[in-house]
Amino acid sequence: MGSRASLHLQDDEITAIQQETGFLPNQIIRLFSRFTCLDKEQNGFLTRDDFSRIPEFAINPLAQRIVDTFFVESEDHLNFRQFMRTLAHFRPCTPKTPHEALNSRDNKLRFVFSMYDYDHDNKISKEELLQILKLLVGSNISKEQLSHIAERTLLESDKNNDRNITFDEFKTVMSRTEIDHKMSVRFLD
Amino acid sequence: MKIKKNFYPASLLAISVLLLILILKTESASNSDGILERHINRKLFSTDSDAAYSDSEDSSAEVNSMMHDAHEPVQSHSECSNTSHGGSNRFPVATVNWQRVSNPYIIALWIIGAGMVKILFHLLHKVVSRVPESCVLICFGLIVGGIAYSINKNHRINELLFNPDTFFLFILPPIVMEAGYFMPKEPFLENLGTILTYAIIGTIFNALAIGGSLYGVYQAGWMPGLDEFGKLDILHCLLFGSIISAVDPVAVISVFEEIHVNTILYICVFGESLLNDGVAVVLFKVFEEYIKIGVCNIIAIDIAAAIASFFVVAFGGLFIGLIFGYVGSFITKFTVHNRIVEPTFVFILCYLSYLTAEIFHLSGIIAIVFAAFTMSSYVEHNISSKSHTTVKYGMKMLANIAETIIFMLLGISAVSDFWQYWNTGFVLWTLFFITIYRAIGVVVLTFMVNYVRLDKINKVDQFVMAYGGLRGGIAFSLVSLTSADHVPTIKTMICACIVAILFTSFVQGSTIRPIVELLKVKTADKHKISMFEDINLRLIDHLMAGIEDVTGHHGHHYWMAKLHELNTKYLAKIFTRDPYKSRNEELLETFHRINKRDAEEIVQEIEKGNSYGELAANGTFANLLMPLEMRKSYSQASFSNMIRQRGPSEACIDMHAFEAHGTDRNDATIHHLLEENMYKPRSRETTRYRRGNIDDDSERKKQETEIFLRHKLTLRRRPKHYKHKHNKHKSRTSSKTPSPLTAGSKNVLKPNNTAPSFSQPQMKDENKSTKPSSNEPDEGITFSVPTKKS
Repeated sequence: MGSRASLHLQDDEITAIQQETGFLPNQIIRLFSRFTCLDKEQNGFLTRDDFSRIPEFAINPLAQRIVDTFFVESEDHLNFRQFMRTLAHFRPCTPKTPHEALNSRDNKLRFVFSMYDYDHDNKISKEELLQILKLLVGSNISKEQLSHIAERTLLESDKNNDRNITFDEFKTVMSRTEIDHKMSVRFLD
Repeated sequence: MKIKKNFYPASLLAISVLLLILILKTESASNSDGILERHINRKLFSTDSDAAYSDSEDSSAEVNSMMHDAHEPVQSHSECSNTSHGGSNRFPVATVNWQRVSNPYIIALWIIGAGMVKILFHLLHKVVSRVPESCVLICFGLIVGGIAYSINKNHRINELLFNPDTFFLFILPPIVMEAGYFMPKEPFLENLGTILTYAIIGTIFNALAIGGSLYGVYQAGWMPGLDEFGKLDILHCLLFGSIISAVDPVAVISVFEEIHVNTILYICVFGESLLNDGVAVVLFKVFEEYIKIGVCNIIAIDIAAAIASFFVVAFGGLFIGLIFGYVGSFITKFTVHNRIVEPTFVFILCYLSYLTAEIFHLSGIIAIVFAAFTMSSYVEHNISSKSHTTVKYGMKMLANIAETIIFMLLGISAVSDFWQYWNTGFVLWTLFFITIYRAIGVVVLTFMVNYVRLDKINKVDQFVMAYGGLRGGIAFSLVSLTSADHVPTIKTMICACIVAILFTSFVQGSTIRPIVELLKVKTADKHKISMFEDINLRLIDHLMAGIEDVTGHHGHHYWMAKLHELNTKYLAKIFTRDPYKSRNEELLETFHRINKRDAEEIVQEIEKGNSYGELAANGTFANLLMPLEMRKSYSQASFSNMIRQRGPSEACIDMHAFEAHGTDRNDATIHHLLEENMYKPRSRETTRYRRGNIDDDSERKKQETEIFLRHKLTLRRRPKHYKHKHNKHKSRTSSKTPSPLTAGSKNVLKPNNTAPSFSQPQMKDENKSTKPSSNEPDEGITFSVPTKKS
């Protein structure tokens, strides 16, 4: 079945994806077979249900948010191009990686930022922060404590006192973290 | 000034050296037992009981030998021993029994001497920054060894500590235990593959290559003169190769710690050198066994057996280590009421793992490393913080002593008669091969490892890794433990080994720091992590695990996530007492820690004499400031907020004064005044002593802190007329002009205006003697004021 689907991947499509994302042809073919493997209905696109079938997602507290990052706005279908575009954020990068490439440091950070930014207003509000915190911690921490943590976080990151964290502020906070290494996955050839 | 500072340790050192010389002198005089005692006894008692001892040499010797045999000086005090010898032996007023305590005494002197050397050389900052500590200790050993050798050529100082039993049973375990316990867990597990590659493949490669090349060079006839000392066998060379390939981390790690090199380089060198000790010892034992069998008798099955035994030894050690580690974690779960035994369990169980592994001829080093490694993850949650401190210090102390002993013995052993077995060819070739193969090994293995690694190990790191391959205590110990029966050229090998150690320690060890700085090795970012960063890092961990799930390729994020799950779900529940804090719940801990840090910073600033107003003005804490309307909701969010609302000088104000508003304002004011300015009575010292427990002195601590804080605050609040009186003592704090903020609040809070006149004379009294004066309940401690303001 996988072989039938892989026939759909044309050479020119591979080159197009390669140009856009920087993946090697081998990696693209490999990820395409993964894509078709996830696509249980064999209809050429992934749905949210397809993702939720991944067994490990059951124990990942952020599973829902991660799935959300794959889907554009409120669309329910994800084609291979979009799939690859998201994954491209996690290619290893070097200091030489061009700024606009999907796997650049900036775009990696942007990706994390978008996980917080639920309403896409380019700001992280206290509520958005709290939501993530709630997902991250178990039930052992009280709401009040979480709220304090969120306050504190806002307080230390919010430079312009608008009670939101903008992307620039976010970047400043993460400026000393080794994001390039932390947000890289090894894609097999 | 500096000379004066160094004078005391130097004089102490001189005294200890003198003592050592004295011991050596007396020892050289006494080659058989008894004589020394007779010598001393006679000198000592010649005045007291002249008659008794001048009778005959034989009788006194007899007494001495009897005393020595019995090993009980008490016996000489008892009546029955006197009667058996008739009138020749009177009751001695005092006796000297040197022989009985000689061994532990010399060992103790050793340790003290080494400790003082450390103090001395740390005072000489210039030396310390250039030369690694190991070199200093070796030098000291050389001096002592030189003195000892000149006094007595056959001194036995080093033999006392340096035989296979004492080394493997007592000196080595603490060193590796400490390393295992303090191994950073996550980086170690993340880089486990790399570390194992370096440690196992690297060491085997080095051993075989060095041994083989030395034999090749010997066969080619490029080591003239070696035949005089004995024949060199291929197995001898391989044995020597395995000895010399044990890399010692001590010197390098201390340099790395000082300049904070990046985590990957640090953990690779640290982990490698730790595990490669284990590998080198295993190889050493294999070749020793082969030598016993004889080179011609070795058949294929022996080689296969050696390879099999290698894995059995390594994984058996790992297995035993894990078992003991988990047992230890489990036991400490039940020590709530017996805090005093907690450290014992940790130490002894680690040690037991080592001994148990040794019983079955498994790798004790690997066992103890993993026992300590496992325990460190759970024990922390079980034992009290004081026990934990004890464990940490105990580990460090033991390891430090053991290391010190090894390096000093190395120095001492270097001054000995085996230099007549010196062979220039062998030594130079050894130096050449260890350097070249270390470099080749690192480069080749890194190439292999980099193929898999995401963050490649770059050229600079590789160079530092290769350059940091110092040889140390383990190599020296192994080589000096080899007997001349098996390896006829061992004396030459000892020469080569000592030269290799001295060369790598002195040349490489003292140049590694400038080189690391010159090459601009990526240093670790040791910045204080902020709250948001912490949250983000956790988020990223989950995100990456999720992405790996999507791609279907299980990389290290996947395994780390699995490991954490296994740990929180099962292991931690079994092995820790309190509900284990999952990694995400540690967020709260971070939060507390950061708040505490803020508080400390503010207190420090206050101590420096900055008032709050200045702090806010110069922007140190500007980022912590927030719009006015938010204050209410933030009231508990952080300590800094509390400070912010009141200003530091007022933070300790007693809120009772405000709560008791209305009826008796005056009473409340006075009450408040007293409360604020009177020192709490010093609680009586407890005189009880229990071996099983340590009294909790937190109450006393609290009080001392309070007195200290109040003292500070009073000084700051003193009005101007006091400045003249006490200008001399407290010019720093009292010359501060009151900040606008505090000044402003003073108007609001009446009590503070009048406070100084009360507190000043009283403080003088308190300074003289802080005896309990009244029995006031201990409440209203500074900074623990309820902050609700509704």
